[in-house]
Amino acid sequence: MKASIMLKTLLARLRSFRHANRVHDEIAEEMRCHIDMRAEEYVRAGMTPETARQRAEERFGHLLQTRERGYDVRGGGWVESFGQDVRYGMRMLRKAPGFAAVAVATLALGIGSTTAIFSLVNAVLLRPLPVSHPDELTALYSDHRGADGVGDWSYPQYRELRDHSGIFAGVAAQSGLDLSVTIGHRAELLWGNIVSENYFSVLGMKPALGRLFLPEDDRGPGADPMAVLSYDTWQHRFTADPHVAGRKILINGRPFTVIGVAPSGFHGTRMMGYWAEMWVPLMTYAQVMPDSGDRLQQPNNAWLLLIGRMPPGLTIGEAQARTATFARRLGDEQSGPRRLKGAVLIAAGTQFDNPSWVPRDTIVFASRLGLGAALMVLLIACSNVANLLVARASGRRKEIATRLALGATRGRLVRQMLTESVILAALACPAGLALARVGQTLSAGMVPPSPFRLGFAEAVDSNVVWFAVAASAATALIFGLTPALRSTRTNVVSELKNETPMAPFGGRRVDLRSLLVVMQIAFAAALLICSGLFLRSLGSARRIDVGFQRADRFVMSFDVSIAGYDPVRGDRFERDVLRRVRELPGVASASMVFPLPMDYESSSTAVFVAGKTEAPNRETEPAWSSRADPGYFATMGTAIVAGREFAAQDDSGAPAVAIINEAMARRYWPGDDAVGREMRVGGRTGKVLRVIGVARDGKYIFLGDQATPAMWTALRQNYTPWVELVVHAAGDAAAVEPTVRATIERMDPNVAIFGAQTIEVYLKRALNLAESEAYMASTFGTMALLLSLLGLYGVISYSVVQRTREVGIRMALGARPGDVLRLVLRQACWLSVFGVAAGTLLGFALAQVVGSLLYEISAHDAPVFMITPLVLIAVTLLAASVPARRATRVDPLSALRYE
Amino acid sequence: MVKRKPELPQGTFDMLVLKALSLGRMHGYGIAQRVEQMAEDMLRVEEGTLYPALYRIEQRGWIVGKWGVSENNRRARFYALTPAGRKRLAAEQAHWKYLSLAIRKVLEAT
Repeated sequence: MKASIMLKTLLARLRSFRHANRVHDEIAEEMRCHIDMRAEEYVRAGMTPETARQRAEERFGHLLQTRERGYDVRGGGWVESFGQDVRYGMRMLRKAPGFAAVAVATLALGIGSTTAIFSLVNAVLLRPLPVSHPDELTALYSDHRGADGVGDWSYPQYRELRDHSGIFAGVAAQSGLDLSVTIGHRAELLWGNIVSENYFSVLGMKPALGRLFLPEDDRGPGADPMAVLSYDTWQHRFTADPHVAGRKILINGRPFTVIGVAPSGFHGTRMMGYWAEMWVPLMTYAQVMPDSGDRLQQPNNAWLLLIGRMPPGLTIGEAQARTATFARRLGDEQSGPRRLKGAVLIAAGTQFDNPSWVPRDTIVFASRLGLGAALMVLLIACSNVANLLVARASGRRKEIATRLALGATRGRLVRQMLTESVILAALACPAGLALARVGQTLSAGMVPPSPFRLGFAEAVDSNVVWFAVAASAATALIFGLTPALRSTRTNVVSELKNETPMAPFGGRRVDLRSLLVVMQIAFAAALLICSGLFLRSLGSARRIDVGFQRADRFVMSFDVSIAGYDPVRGDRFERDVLRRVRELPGVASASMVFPLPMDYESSSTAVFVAGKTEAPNRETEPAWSSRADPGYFATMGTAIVAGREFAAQDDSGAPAVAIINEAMARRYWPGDDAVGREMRVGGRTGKVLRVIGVARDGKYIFLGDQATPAMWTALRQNYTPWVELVVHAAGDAAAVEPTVRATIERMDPNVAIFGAQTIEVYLKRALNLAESEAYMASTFGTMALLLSLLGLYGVISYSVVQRTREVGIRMALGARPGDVLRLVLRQACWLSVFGVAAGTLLGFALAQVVGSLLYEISAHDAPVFMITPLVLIAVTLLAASVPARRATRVDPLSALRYE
Repeated sequence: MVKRKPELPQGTFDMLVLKALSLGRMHGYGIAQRVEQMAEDMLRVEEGTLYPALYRIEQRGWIVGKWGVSENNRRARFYALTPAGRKRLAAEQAHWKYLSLAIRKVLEAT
């Protein structure tokens, strides 16, 4: 067909779409006219008008069928019939709202979970950084002799690579740091990046407001201190001030000028790191990085992550080879054992995380695993809806046969039924997207409370929407095509005569449909057993004795070094804070510590105890260690079982003292009094510490830890500028916290307070693993259960519809509704019992795998393994009883009428 | 399509319709009559296939249908050959003549 003809056809069809009724009328009129003419001819031949008309109609044949076929050819093009199909499909779905709701919910579940996983994969692997031509960017890592994995670069190395290698169009450098930022009157801690002045130019970014750093801003150390805000920082900490560019702020107590705001959605170039809230230029390093020495001159101090932009035409392989050669030459000029021996380049479309910590292969593998699991859920959802559709189509057999008899072609009917599937998928698509959004919110809620922002910022971007639409479209075909083809392949005559083939209940044929349902129930059972185990484990985790009290206590942190304090002034400030806080009303006791047990930070000390820690190849043993002020154990409610806790006398200048836990006392002085004993730190000749007390055991790194040795030194004998202030409130901790905060702020508004939270909340992070596990397993378990219930419902519905006549005969022969119910439920019972039994075995195997993650319960926890299967069988039978009840309402007369 | 004794090979009915219309515009009933007359009643046109065939040929652009008034003052849809239809008819006729000659030669070969 020529293009012009195609166009004409299309136009004609579009026209007929707009005038669908007119086309119908025209065809009817034309055919009526034909019959009239024939009748006139017969009259002319001598018949009476009545006979003539009758004969003419007989001669014409099936008027309706001919009209229908004529319409199919002339007006019934795809455009018009699609509109008609949509209207018809909507009407059919409105007539069966229960079916429609169940089908849409099932599909939404499948599409939603797949889309949620995809949005995560999208954020981690696919979505490029919001910078220009991210495909040209590469991360540069140094390869040092004797180092594990690859790492950072020193400033002199960066200078060489940027100015003298001639490989890249530009090389930028960055490093992370915490900043004490005073906006108005009070200092806040911001997580920032110190970046080379060409950072934003190399990335090719445009400011949302003001300007970003420029290469020309590199005018030597200390010149023009300025800062760029992240979009979120501008919105939330600067109240979206449109005149923020030019505003003066204090960073670490030094004056800085805000020059601009980075575009929204840019949080720095790391993904597995905190979201950068502010950027300061490299040349302000002396102002923002206290006690760091002259980093610009140190050739071996590797602290910078480098990002290169490749010039057009250079392949990553060439760039890699040339950079490695260049780095080796730099290494040859170095002294010492840890010299550069090469470089590794990673083309970075999405992320700049060190591959030694975050191997890309692992991420890709995990993504595939997640997507695979989600796609399986989607396929199960599809097969369930297909079952429902087949069951429904069986109920519509007569409607279909009638339409076929009236001349509708099979293709037309298949199209009609596919349209219904498309409607279902189209309804499920937005519901699935909404579900995916909920999933994102929930998964964001699983990020533990922390002083900085983490996460991948999964968002519903165009990638995700297209994915959901594609998944829905594919879904509609997968679940719609088979039922449509099957149900239209009917024998018109036998169907209208009601000669349905009879298949009795309890036939031993194992069909695919039943097998699928058994598998679904098995998976659901296994997952629910796991979630039962995790829930019980979470319960025990919440009851685990961490070694200190949770109620009425809170913690807040500050770092005086970034507020410009030297150790002498810092020590004085910390003492003053503690003194004043203790005097506040509502404070029962207060102390300082660093770090708290189960903090992000954890430190370990090598302990030497004469005759105890020595072994052929070592002389010390590690112990978890912390430093604490007087009253720490009382404040946290940790019992001192022997000796005493830190007191005012354990000051700098006094003999060095330590408190150890029971596990450590048992290890080195079993059955003996540990108080008064001596140990050394670092080795045989290390500093001597005298044990003054023994504290009750607790947990120090993870909730599930066994009792491990732990020790505390006196904070005043072991200064640290970063401390955690712990307070035991006499009443409501949340009410006392603001007055404590205000007191410190009054003492020095430039000291930024961060990480303020109750101990209850603080412990959430420790519980995070247990909570996440219980939460994930429950979510997936519930989803699997829902899907398997829907699957069982579909299969039982299908068999009930198929066996309507058998039920009719049985009831006509005297079976009561109860008998019929039992008959149908017996089938469901077999499926359920098989599925649950297989699932329990599977759960048993899974429990072995997850057993190590459980807190204080056995992997063969009896209640879980006994209750879950019973509940499951009950629930599945309940789901099957809905269609089973329908079978009992079969009217034997109407079921057998055409026999 | 056209029933009764010799069944027409697939696709030839369209050619007959085009031939009938080459004599002038005509409505569906007239086309059926004309074909039957031209075949000297050796063929019978079934209405059940006539109209779908007409619509199909119209869709292809070989004929156009327009409402008009019949000889008996009746509103009817009249079909007329388009230039494309005329070309098509010539092509089909040539093709058919060639084919039938070839078949006859085969069948009558001794």
